[in-house]
Amino acid sequence: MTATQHEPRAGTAPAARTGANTGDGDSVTLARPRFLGRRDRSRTLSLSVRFAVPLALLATWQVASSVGWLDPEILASPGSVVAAAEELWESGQLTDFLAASGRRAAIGVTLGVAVGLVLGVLSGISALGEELIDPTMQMYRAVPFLALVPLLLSWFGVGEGFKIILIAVSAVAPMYAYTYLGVRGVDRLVIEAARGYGLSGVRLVAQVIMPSALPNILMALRICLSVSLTGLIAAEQIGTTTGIGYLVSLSQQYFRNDYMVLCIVLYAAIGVLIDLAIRIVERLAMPWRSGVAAR
Amino acid sequence: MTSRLPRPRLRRLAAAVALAATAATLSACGSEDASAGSEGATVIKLVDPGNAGLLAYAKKTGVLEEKLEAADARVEWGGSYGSFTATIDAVRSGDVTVLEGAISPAIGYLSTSDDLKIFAVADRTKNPKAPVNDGLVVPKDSKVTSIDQLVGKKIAVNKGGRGEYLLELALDQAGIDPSEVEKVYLNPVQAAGAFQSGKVDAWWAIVRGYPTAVAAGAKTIVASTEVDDNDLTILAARKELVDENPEALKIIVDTLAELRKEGNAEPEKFQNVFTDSGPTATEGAALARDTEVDRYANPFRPVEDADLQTIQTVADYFSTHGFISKPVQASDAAVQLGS
Repeated sequence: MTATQHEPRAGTAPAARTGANTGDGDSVTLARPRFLGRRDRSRTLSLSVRFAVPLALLATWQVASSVGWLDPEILASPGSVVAAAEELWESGQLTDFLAASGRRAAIGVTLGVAVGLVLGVLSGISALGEELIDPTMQMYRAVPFLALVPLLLSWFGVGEGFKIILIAVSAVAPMYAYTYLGVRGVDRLVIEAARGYGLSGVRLVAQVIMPSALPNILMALRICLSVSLTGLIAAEQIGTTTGIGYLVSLSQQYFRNDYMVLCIVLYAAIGVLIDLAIRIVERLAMPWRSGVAAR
Repeated sequence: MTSRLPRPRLRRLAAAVALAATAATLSACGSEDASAGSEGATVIKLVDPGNAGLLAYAKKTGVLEEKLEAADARVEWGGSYGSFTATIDAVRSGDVTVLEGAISPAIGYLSTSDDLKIFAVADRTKNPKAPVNDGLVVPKDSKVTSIDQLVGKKIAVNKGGRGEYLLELALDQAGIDPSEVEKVYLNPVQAAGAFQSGKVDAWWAIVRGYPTAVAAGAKTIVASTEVDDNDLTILAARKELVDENPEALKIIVDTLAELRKEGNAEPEKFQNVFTDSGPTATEGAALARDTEVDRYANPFRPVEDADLQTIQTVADYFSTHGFISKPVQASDAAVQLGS
């Protein structure tokens, strides 16, 4: 049984050429692994492809609005959405609203992420921690956080505290789940090796377990930030006079389709920015990842 | 494959993050505490009045704050809510203690809670020059021309509020059993979308929904002026506020009544009070309409004996038509200030 041989490319490690004996004595030559190679894509091509679909959607939207296929009461035209953005920008409300939402999200996500991270690590590294925390957290994870809104309203009222806590509550579950999985997935041999070097306790967690679980933690952060947008919409619909969620609610009250679409565009833009920020953090915090990914 | 950050740097980073989070949390709590205000004074918590109307003007000029000093009370302006019904959670949690609305949604609230009291009312204008406030509308391309053609059709209304109340009255007047139409319970915002996309055949449009629908070409089948309703515009307050400082509530009624006179004479200055741009700003036909609404609106007055009878009539209608599960007594629902 001889597998197809591939000529190694320059610079690749020599593949195993040795045969191995099977039970019946046949000699088997192992295949030389094919080097996956570096698939460097042209940056321009990559960026063009990335933007192609959103731009095509935008063009279709513009054409459909111009030709009259789209009723402006159903979906405002790109032009009117841009005009709404300009109007809001000139009055200074756009920056105020973005700042207010950003502040709520930042505080809420920080609190939620801190709680989720601590619980996830405790549950991941200790059997007792898992027994104490995991069943409750799994139940908590199954509860849609929006179902807690009436309860949180009666506990905290409609003020800033409620909004921040709702966002924090939304961030705890994904942070916990991914951190727990990440910590559970840390190679036992690595931990044993670190222990051999005298690392234990907080230092072991901070210097070995956390960096190994970092891909999961960053994925959790990405999800927490996205989920926090949902929390923001829910929180800012109630009793506020500032924020993007408030703008959604205002545009509904005043039947302003252009502002409704503007809010959707703003959420999409925030989503892209979150993704970009996490990608940058990933690149900085995990430089080794770029060489070991599947492509 | 561990982090390359040296430990002191890592610690400093962690400390900085923790410090920033704590500071941000404290500042968030601080902003709430700062508005908790001077000791002893009664706090009147009002909703954000938006960009038009008496309360918006009062907020801008500070006239309420000024007058309420005499009753050792002060105003705290809160968040924005779409309607009386949307404000209910905030009323229950005590974040809003005085709010404006109509008898109909207040009765809906009072059938399940007894912590709210109607303390002032304003008659709806009968002036024929005043714009119509709400009505039963059908899409512009609908073949329906009268309410009896809506038998078996879907009609959107807000549950237990003014929309459902007026629709039932209109159906009663036309001799149609309410069970012969299919009521679809939607709040005005949801109903606007359903109506626009043709998911419902008609809609009893209220608040801003009616003028918006009419401006978009919808046809009015029944206007609210054609229905003999007993609804009044009201001001309601949480019970503990009524007990604690009725004098402050009397000042609110008097101040708003004075502002109404100003509003009737110069309605223009009560429009676009804070801003001429953004989603809350009105222009063109909408601005002209809102101006006319203010020109003909009636002032608030404290609840009188006759008003108790009106409230009872609406409450009984709600009860007999099954809008509410528990009857409401006007004497419990309203308070006569100074009596």
